[in-house]
Amino acid sequence: MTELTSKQYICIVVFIFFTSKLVTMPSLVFSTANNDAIISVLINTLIELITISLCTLVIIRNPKTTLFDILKRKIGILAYLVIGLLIIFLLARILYCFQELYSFFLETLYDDLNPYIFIFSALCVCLFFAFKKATVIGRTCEILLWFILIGTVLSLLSNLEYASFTQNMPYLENGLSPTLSGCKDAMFLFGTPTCLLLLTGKVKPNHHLFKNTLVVTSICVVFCVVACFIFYATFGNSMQYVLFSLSEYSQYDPYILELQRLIWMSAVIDISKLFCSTCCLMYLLKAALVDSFRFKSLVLPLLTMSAVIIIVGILTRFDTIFWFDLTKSYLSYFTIALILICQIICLVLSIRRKDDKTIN
Amino acid sequence: MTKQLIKKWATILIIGFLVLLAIETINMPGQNSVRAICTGLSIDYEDLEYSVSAQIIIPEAGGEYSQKTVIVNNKAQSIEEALHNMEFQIGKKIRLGHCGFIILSKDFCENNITKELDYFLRGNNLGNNTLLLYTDLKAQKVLEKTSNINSNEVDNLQITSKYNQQHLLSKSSSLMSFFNDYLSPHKTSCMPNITLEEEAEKKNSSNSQSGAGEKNNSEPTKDSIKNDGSMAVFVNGKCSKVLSPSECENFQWFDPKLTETRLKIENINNDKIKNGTISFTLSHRCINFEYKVLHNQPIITINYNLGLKPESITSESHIVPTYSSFVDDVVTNLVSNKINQAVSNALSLMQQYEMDLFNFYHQFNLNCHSNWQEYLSNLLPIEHYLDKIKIITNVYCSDEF
Repeated sequence: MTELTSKQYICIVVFIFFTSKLVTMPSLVFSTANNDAIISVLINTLIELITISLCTLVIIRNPKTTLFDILKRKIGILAYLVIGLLIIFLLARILYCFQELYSFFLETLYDDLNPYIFIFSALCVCLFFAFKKATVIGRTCEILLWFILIGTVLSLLSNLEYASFTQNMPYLENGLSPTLSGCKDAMFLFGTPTCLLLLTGKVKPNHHLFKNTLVVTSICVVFCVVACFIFYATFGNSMQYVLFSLSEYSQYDPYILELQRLIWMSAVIDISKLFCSTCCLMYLLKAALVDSFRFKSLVLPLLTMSAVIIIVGILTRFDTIFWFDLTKSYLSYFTIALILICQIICLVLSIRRKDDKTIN
Repeated sequence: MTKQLIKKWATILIIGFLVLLAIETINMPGQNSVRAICTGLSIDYEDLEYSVSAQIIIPEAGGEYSQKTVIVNNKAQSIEEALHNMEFQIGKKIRLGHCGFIILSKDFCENNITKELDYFLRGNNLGNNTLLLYTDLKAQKVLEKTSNINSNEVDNLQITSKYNQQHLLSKSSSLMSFFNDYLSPHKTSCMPNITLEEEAEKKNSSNSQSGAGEKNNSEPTKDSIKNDGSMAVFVNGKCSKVLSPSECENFQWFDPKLTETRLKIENINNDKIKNGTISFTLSHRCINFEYKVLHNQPIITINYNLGLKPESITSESHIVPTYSSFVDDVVTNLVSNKINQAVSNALSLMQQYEMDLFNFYHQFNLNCHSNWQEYLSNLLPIEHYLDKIKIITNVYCSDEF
């Protein structure tokens, strides 16, 4: 079995964590929670931290068995239901990422972009990673991580002078209701780490994997909350008009219009981040199909999934409003249920037993 | 066998798609021939119609900047309609991705402009950092002048606006910040007021003697945009007041973000200077605000800690040595009086026009929430919340070399 190193696993965790985080998420949360959006983001990222920690524990405890095998042993045929839910979630998440990418291309690089050409090209890149071994996506994440991290930090510092850090205060002015609504509405974008469970049996854990993952994810939580805080402090009430937080943030100053380098850099960072995250998700989709249904050839199932993505994508025309509405309604409830199920499974699977011999 | 067959078909499909793509790409016309790049817009309101003008770049090899731009104008019931009609006029799609500024005329700004400007925020590729500018003149005329100059006037407009922001009022005038202010409780935003150099010259000539006026008229006029530091303040989305440069200077005492400002103190009489005037540069400028509501009276205490660096000194007494201290009780008192006067003038203007330029509403709500809400509950209408505000200033001065 192909094994990811601990370092590569952590890089994948970072990319999975930041999928959509500095793109559409801040605006989506703000549209419901208004001034309390930052608290919603904090709560949701903490839930994500818990999910990632639990998933990592399961991965460490089961280094040689896949999730499906463990689940089948424990809950029998219901394992198919869990894997099925994860596949549906992954499909929806990949489609959302494609919608983000498509809208992003239209807003930044292209005046008009044929959705067929876009979806075909994007799927080609994603399928390439899906057909490859886990180490390929792991190494890609390793290489891109520092470039994206440095670029994101530079972009975040670019317009700091316009941030008014008190403009969203006082918090919780209207009680807890807007915060909780914000948490619920954006839950779909915070549920991605549940899919990390599909990496069970594919990671070669070292002694510090749990500790390192916890530290890195905590840093990611702080980074995400600080970034959102800066966005909200800069855009204020006009945040609802901002679809691509990081890219539009780097364009906030009207006086650096002629210095387009920063704008280009943030555009490249956003695209790379989104593409890399989508490729990770596509790989996880493949892992779910291969591990559970034992397909002899990957071509047919992956092409079927691609066909589903293309059909749904074309039918919805990658419409932002449609996806926002879906995210806030059905998908949020679905994700809450999925997170609860996965966390319970993780808790059960991560309990150390005396007779357990597969402990690292 | 099946696997190989599928692989073969997949490869053929990919190649076929790429060939189709190549054919489509070859047949596509150039982007420049179907799209017009708009670098600036102006909006006037005339005869119950919106008159929209677009500065359009015609890409061509060589030549000067002025040769490459054309102004296209159209009138319609809405901005969107006018831009749509303009596309028929030039036979190209107008794209606003490179639009650096929008000039708004006085007539247009007499009504709530947010309803019209909302169009620009909704998926038409206009960057949210587009600069908003106000003019007393016809906006189209100002736009035409920007095209006549042999330099990139977009950059000049941005540079002068940036200077205003650093030295006069630290309020951004981008489209996004305009909406941010409008959606805030204070609903007050501002943008630079621009005029033309020739207009300014005409005004000067009309004020002076007739002979001098004739002389001025005979001289060639400069086609350049004039930024004198005046600002247009918008309350509830419509232009409420155009602040003159001197009025703007009064407002700078509420603004802690300004980097470097000047202060001129006259009639100084102390040990070193007799009936003198000193122009100071405030290189160190620390302003702290304290907000409280006492007995239903909102009070703002502003503490100034200023580092005064003398730039020029005129005195009837002997020449003052360069590196000597100028700040004593007399100078501090004069500075304090000047600041008090400026603050008082600025506050009365703010109260008169209900323009909360420095977001006092939010600051009171943040610092003394319950008292402020109680104060508001006794107010009718609530928009008059600035009326009872009292300001106390404390000034501390020190020498800065």
